[in-house]
Amino acid sequence: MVRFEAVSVRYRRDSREATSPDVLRNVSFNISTDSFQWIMGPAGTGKTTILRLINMTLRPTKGQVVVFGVSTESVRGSALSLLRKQMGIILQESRLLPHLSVFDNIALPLRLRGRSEGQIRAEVIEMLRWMGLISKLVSLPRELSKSERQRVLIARAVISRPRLLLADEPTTHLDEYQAERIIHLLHELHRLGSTVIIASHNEALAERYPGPMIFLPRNALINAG
Amino acid sequence: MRVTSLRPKSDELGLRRLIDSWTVLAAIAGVAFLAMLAGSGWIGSNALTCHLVCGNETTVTILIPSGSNSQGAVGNTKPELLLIGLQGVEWVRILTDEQVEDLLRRWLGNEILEFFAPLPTIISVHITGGPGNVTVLTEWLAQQAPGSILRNSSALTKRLGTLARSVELCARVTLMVVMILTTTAIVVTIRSALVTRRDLIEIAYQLGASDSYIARRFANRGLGPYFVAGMIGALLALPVVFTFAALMPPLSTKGFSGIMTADAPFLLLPTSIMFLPLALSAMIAIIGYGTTQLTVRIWLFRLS
Repeated sequence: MVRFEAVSVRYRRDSREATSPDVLRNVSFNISTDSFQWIMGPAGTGKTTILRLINMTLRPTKGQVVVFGVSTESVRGSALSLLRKQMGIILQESRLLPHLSVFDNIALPLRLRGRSEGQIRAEVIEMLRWMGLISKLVSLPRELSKSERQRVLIARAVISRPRLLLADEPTTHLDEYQAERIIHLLHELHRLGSTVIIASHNEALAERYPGPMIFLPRNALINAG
Repeated sequence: MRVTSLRPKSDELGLRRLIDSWTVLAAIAGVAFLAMLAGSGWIGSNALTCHLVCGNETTVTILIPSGSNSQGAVGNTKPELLLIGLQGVEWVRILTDEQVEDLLRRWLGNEILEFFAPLPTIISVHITGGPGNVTVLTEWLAQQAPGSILRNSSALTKRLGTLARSVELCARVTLMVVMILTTTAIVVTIRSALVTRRDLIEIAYQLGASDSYIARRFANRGLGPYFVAGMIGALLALPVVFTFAALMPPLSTKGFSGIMTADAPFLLLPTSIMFLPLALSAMIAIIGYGTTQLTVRIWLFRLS
């Protein structure tokens, strides 16, 4: 499903800056289809970078990332859109579209996939009920609490039942009860056939829902898989 | 629960007031105003060029001196009725005494109160079918109105034709410049909207929105407003065109054969000019749509 081959990433903050440090260096691993994969490690070790590389919002400086059997190096345009349509993503910096209601935000991935409005309405309302957000159906993002916003982000990522779900610290801003429910939801999605990759520093959560794990220690190279 | 709010929203990227802000629409209307003037100038100068140099046509001036002897057979009958039946004569225009006096006053000065000398009858005749028909007219005049003078100012007409062609070319260039300005204004607006909405575009991108989906959202947003702004600008230019139509024969439907009047200027305009606002608005909307699509796609290509 996902393969990293000697991947290095260096953010270029300045074009003259030749010696900026590598965020990832020589990273190789393999994530098989239908796995419930954890990427663990302290903050700043490159967990988000790995998810962004898989989502192709970031390209490797060196090496190769293969997603769904396709090397992401030269994927652009409609091919890129097709690959992304098979993914759901929850990033820490993910945002909701501020001028769209909760309903429209969650419905967006389904509309991008050309689903009918009737189907969209049924699925979104069911999801909102499950998330405990049905009363916020027509609210705008600015009217939501942090926890509600996080749940809407998760709902938007999973609504299309993606083949691959990428979740970066999905339980941030959630209380223990909601966090448990969300991880349970992701586990259900995995049970239904999706590959789920969760980046987290919460080891307790990983222990309750075990799965293969990639650990990113601080200032270290990894070579797992 | 407000059920109506669940209707799909076409402006996912919040482009309202970014692409169709008042400033942009005012700029488009201004450009359409200029385009309307340039377009009318093109049509008018084209008509003038055609009138002067197209095909085998020519306009001659006949001067029939005053006095019964010299007018001969023409004397008792309206000359235009006789002339219009001749081979190749397309139209005939006779200057009234007032018009002749008016012309002479321009040369002789306004202090002259009355003309005591008899004024000749001056007739403009437009002839088609080549020089042969001018010869026919010359022979006919020698028989029917001896003493009359026929002036064929083809050399001057050629020069005027060249001048008219230059004016036509200038109008075309102006129209082109105006359209380039439209394109530039749209590109600047779209690029600014793209920068402002970059984060939202990235969200849509992450969710799997394709380049064409995003480009279509931008292009559709501007299509209607650009058309309306173009139409308003072009319609605002119409009074100016009406004024020109009252002053300049090429812009009027009566062309060169009738006497101009400004009583109902819109009746003077040829159909092509009457349809120009619609055509210009459509052109601006199409240019806007195409330019937006291209600008967004190039920007997205660089982004990915």
